[in-house]
Amino acid sequence: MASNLTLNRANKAKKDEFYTQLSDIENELKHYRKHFAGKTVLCNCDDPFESNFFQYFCLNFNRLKLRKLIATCYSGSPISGSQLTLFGDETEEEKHTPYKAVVTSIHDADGDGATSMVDVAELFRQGENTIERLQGNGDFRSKECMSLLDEADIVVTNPPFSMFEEYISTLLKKNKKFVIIGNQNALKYKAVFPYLQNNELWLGYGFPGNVAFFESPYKDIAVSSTHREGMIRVSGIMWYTNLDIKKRHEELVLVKRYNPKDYPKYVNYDAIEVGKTSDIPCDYSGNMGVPITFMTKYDPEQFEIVGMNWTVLADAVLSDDIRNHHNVARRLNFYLPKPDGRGNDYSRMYDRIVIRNRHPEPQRYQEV
Amino acid sequence: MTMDIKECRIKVSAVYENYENDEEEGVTGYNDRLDIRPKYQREFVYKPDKRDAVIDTVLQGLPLNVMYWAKTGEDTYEVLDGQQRTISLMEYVDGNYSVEYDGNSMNFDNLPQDIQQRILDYELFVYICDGTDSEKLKWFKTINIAGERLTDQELRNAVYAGTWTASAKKYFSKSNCAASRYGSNVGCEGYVRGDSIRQEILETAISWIADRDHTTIDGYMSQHQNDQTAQELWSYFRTVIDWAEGLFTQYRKEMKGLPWGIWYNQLNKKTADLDPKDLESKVSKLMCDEDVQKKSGVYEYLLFGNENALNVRAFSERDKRQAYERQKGVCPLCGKQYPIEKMQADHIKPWSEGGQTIPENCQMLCTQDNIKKSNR
Repeated sequence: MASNLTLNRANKAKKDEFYTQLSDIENELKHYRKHFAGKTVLCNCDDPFESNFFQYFCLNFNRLKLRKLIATCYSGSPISGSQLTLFGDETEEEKHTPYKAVVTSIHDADGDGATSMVDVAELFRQGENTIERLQGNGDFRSKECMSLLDEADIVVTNPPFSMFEEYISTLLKKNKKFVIIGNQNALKYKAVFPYLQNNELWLGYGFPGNVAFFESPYKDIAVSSTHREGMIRVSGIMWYTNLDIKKRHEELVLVKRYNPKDYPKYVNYDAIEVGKTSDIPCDYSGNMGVPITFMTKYDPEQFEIVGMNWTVLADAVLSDDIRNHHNVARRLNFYLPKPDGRGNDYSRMYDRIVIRNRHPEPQRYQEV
Repeated sequence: MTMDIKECRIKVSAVYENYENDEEEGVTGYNDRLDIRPKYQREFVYKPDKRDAVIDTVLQGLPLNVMYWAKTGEDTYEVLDGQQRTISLMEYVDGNYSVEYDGNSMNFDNLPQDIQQRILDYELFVYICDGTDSEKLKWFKTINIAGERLTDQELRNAVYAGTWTASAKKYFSKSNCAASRYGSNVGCEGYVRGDSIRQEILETAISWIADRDHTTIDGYMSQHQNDQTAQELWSYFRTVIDWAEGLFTQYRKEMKGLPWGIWYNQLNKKTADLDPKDLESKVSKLMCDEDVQKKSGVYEYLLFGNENALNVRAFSERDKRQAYERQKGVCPLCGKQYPIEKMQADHIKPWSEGGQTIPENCQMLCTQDNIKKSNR
């Protein structure tokens, strides 16, 4: 698909324009099928004939019983090798004007018995579904795109990562339901984390090993044994959603037991360090610091999210002791009382989510 | 009841009736009468190209290889062979993925009606086998030659399918499952050999609890087949690992693969007064002892006093000859003279009391006296 991009467009595009593979969309969305009946879906970062999101919802329009599908995008996409003329004879310039596609019906328009993207194009031609130019530039923040958002029930897309925080904030403020792709670091954003903490947002099923392969017009510069032609490999990729899925209610089976040697306490906050999510002890009732990827295993009936290092340390003052013994003393990080191998007597931790077990088993270790 | 193998042709549409796919609950079809993938069974990730090839085969009307179903009840079955092919077909008909058809991505629903019908009417060629549990087990082992070989325990899981097995798999059968991570230092993988995915950890756990109950793995599984949970097995297993960890506080790789559960069944009441610190110093000393040739036997020796487990170094032929000549062939215990081949080497100061395997600690005893001495 991306190979069809005109050079002109690739030049204009930002570095964060990737296309999600159809199979990845299928693998995630099969868990959400029950949510779509009678709903209006908006894909507002997706060129209809480039984007697999648009294709997915067209192909599944009837099975999911959608009411309406809206995509906002740039025009000028080739479909199945032939140029779809939307507005008569456009100039090259006009082909890049933003437009919106609205689909309310998908059926066999060309009489071959099948319903494929060919029929989708035909239904646009016949005017049964519509394609119109947008007045503005198609930016999701523009007034006309905002009113489309108001109309939508569920938003499904892969927004530009550079604008993720603003994008997801907009959806959350407008109380929209969504399934969108983002980087795992986004869960630490100040505009995102509070929603995760309050169980108003969670992570979806995700990609194997949290690694995604996107179709990309750019060269894959990442060196990896899993390189794939025409694809860019991006690690730390997750689905963010506020639609309920089974996975959030699956309890993590805990098998480790607490002992102070394996689970040392931080020096500047009353919590133990748990370096791996699978090592969370089953019998510790206090606060625990876990890696941010814990969020992929989080079941709100099992754990309570107390905060993150930067929220629980928001009013903290860094002790002189740490300041004198660490050359990168940061107020908002947790420290362990052990040398870090780089000449510091304290080890500064990566970002940690602070959790508490709602139903800990009786502790076996006796404090001496 | 005799073993019965039936050839059947079963339409895709019949298997698709009430098809359910739930990662925790397993995959069922054939109007709830067929376990396509039981709970917690190995979840193969079927590569898209393989998956697409199945659909392609069906679209072209070519035959898929034969599949095997095991009869598990009055009118209920479990797929024993053909799981992935079945799931690929069902997932496609269920509309969960698209394949290229005529140059376009198509979900099942997007295909022309007649092509959809062609898939639904496609007949799977299935062997359904029925018999007693042991007959089925024997039969499974016989046909267990094609494709992905099943381990003995995987076959047992199929034969004794039910609530208990499903629950046991939750603890023992997933990669990185609870059992494989249980324990305060190394996880149970430090104690049990095998692969959780291939059901080998589960097999070991059941063999231990079966030993406790004086039965076999099959006996235990058939007895508990309809229990609601395998909680008993899980807590028993944890107790065994805790017991081993509590006695031998310093983990060593020689502890892996020893019959901890069997020993626990025999000893758990008697080891309460053993001092872990004292045990550790003994383990450490024996590990350094050059005469101990089988280091993994140290644990059995300390628990049972069984010196054979250590495979203590024997006197060499040279040492024996020297002692024989020194004694002039006379056995010091009975005073009679023997040819060397009727005598055996013995530690003068027993090895267990610190006597080493060195020439000056070697004496030759007549065979009878040596047997008497070691039985004392």
